[in-house]
Amino acid sequence: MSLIPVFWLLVFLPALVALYFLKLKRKDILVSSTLLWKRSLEDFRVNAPFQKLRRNWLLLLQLFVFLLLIFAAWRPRVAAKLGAGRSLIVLVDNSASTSAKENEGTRLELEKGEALELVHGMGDADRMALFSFSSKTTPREPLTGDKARLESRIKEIEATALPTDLGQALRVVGSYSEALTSPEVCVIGDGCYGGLSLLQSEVKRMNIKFLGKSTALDNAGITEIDVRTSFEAEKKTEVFALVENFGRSPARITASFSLGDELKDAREVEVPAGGSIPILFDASTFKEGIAAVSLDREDALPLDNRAWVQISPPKQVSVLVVGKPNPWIDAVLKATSSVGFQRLALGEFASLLSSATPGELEKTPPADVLIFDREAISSPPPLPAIYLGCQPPLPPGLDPPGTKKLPVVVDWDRAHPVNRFLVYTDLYIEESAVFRGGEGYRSLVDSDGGSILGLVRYSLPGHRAIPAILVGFDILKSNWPLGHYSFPIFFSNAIAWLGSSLEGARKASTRTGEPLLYYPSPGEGLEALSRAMFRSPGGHEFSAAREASGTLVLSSVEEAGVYDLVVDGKALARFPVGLLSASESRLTPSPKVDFGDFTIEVSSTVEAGGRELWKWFALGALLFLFIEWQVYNRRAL
Amino acid sequence: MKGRRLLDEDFISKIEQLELVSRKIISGAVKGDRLSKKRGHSNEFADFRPYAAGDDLRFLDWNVYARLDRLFLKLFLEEEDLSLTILLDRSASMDFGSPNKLEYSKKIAAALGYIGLINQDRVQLSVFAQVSRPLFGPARGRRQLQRFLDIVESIDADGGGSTNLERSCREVAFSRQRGGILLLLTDFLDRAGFEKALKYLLARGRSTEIFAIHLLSPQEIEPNLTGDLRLVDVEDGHASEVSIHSAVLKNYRRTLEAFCEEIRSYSSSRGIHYVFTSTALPFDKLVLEFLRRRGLIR
Repeated sequence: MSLIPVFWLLVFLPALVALYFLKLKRKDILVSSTLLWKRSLEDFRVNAPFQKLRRNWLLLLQLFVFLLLIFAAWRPRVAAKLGAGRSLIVLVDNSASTSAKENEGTRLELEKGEALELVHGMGDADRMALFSFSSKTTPREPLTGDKARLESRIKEIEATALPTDLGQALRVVGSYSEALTSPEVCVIGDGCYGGLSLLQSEVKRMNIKFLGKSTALDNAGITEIDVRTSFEAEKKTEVFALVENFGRSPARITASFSLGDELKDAREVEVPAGGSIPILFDASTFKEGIAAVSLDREDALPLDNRAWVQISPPKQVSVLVVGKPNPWIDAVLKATSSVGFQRLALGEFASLLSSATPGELEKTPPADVLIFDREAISSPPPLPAIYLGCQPPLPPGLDPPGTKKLPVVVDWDRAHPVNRFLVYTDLYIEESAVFRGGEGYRSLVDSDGGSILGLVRYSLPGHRAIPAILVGFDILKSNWPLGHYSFPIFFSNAIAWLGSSLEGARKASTRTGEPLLYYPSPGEGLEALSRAMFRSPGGHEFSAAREASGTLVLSSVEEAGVYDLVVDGKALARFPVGLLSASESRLTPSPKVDFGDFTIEVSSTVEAGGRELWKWFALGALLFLFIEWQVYNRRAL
Repeated sequence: MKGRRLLDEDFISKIEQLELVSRKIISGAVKGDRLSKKRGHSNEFADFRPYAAGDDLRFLDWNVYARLDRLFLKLFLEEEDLSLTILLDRSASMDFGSPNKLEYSKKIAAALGYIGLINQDRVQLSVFAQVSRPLFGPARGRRQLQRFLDIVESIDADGGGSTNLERSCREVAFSRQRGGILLLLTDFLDRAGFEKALKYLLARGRSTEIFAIHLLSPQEIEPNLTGDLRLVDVEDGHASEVSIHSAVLKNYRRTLEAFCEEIRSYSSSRGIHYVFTSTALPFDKLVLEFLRRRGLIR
């Protein structure tokens, strides 16, 4: 029960007493002198300041009414003893932001307290199902009326380092609740959910309430970390960290950079309130391994004050451009320092391909990445490729593309590495192939007519899945190469991504909630890999799932730190994992949850199960007001 | 007879034999019916003293001169009249209560004045509220009786303002009249207090015997009030908002007792006879028993 209504009502207590005295009608009585009365009252006041209030029935009645209203505002309940029980589905947020420290404990502890209040308020016939959610939704207890069991399950919930995905949680609960009669869904969280406009229809069907007692907390954290080659100087490796301040005042923060266990550099930066500062650390002398950036400060959420990144030796990617001459492509590839390229006509490439055996192609490929410019071969080669204005037959299951004249870009996949730093607005395209999508196709750029740029994977016999980026339009029939800054960055990103995808090279850093992938090189023994385990920073071990292509996968990482891929006790590879989530680091709960067309308010008071009594208290207050009115009028006569 | 309404025949018959008594040396202006401690000209011998030039030769004791050859003057107790000054409070606060305080005090004044006049004492009556105003006397003798009673009868309350006891007593104290009995009839309900007022009366000298009769009505002694009230002062209109309940009433009674005790203590330490009475006490009982016991009459 919240004390807020009591606080507000107590604020008005003096006003009520003042009103009482204003309302008091006093009868005029003539006395010979007020001399003795004044003396006696002065003495009386000195001796007993509150005596005046004694036996003032009118005031006592008003105070009683006041107390009844306090109780009514408190919304007391009693456990319902009779009647049909309610089905309550409780979702407890245990995402990374719930480990933030409030005054009375962590946010998760507050949430668990609210969940326990709900359990205590359950009537005999009530049932509750319990879920915890972050980026993954975990059922904790199916629908039950066993309060002890529910309490035990609630106490077991622990905070994770995962981001929040309320949408997924609501979808899970939506399907779970379909079989129930009039289920009530209660989401207990810290109010940091973000926009959920895609869930309008699901939520409208639910009887859903949001609970949260979290307050706005100041916090700063690392929300991005990456390794990149400096634009200014070739072969200079830099670690980039973005430090964001979500507090209400500027923060002076010291960021430390460590390679292994050795502190290499430290910077002090002042981050404005609500702003961010990028910090670059020189890592050129460090060849390979894990680097860490940490913020030397104590704030509400320590989890985001440290991030790790994988530094890999710089790799030269070879590119083979197949097709007609195109000065724009040549210029871009020449400008990209990590790329060496050569050009072949389509016929030359076809003969090269036909003369080599599949084994030779795998062992000595002609290039790391192929670019087909407006001309494609009839079957996809066993190498990653970019198809510009042409495409080989699409993988089975995907429909042939249509065409769209003057497509307008409406959205793009900002999360994909190929689209990093890119904005596709103001792109003019005369005509483009429009991909229908389907299983195995991932759209990277959407237009008003459909996807015009996307990713497919070809599964070839004897090979792993081969990625290919399909650009639906002829770049010479667009304004893309003509000063649109996204053009060179797209190629740089796409070649880097495709070039590393076959090498077992990993992402520089993985966010919690994302999968870990390990691409074994052809020489690695598959039998040994069958015993591979992923070991978390906390020492937990998880069996690595092995895909048909040989890729080892850990579907979701839940801890921040460095994961190890271990085979027979030896670390085969290391994977840095960090929170790296601005939405989790921003510890400002929203009073409302936004669903686009409508919002739902987040309540700070637990409306426990059982029968509400506030109406009875309010009715009692009304009755006493009536009595008070009668007394008042009788005395006023 | 108009004035006789204050005193009924039965009561008058009881006071016919009474007289006023003063323990102090009385210095009347004219010879009265009583013996003064002052040597004078009555037939009652008091003492001798040696003759001095200028003494009345008629009072020389020639027999002593014959025997002793010295001139001695015979001294006699002088018969003097007693002066009774009645100072009656007619402020608005006195016109209160049942029995009414003003009516009650008028009866006391009438009774004592009656006793004084029939005993050839010099009787003077003044009333006061804001200021004092002489209404009667000084006069003596039965012939003044009717006029005196009429005047007392006609006294009504002064609704024009609050009591100024101090100023009224000062005016009385500075009047030429000295000595005798001074009877103050008041409720002492004056915001300025009573001390200075009594001090002025004491300034009349040791020859004045002061009786302060403090009158309060039963409604003032035991107020029958309760609830949320606005008490309005009948004299100055001053209002006090009070919520009266048993605790407040109890405190009021304590305050009243302390107030009376304050006057009593002040008076007795200065030789003033303080008599507190409720108007609920039958008037004849007050005069015939209480005042008699206090030695004002015998």
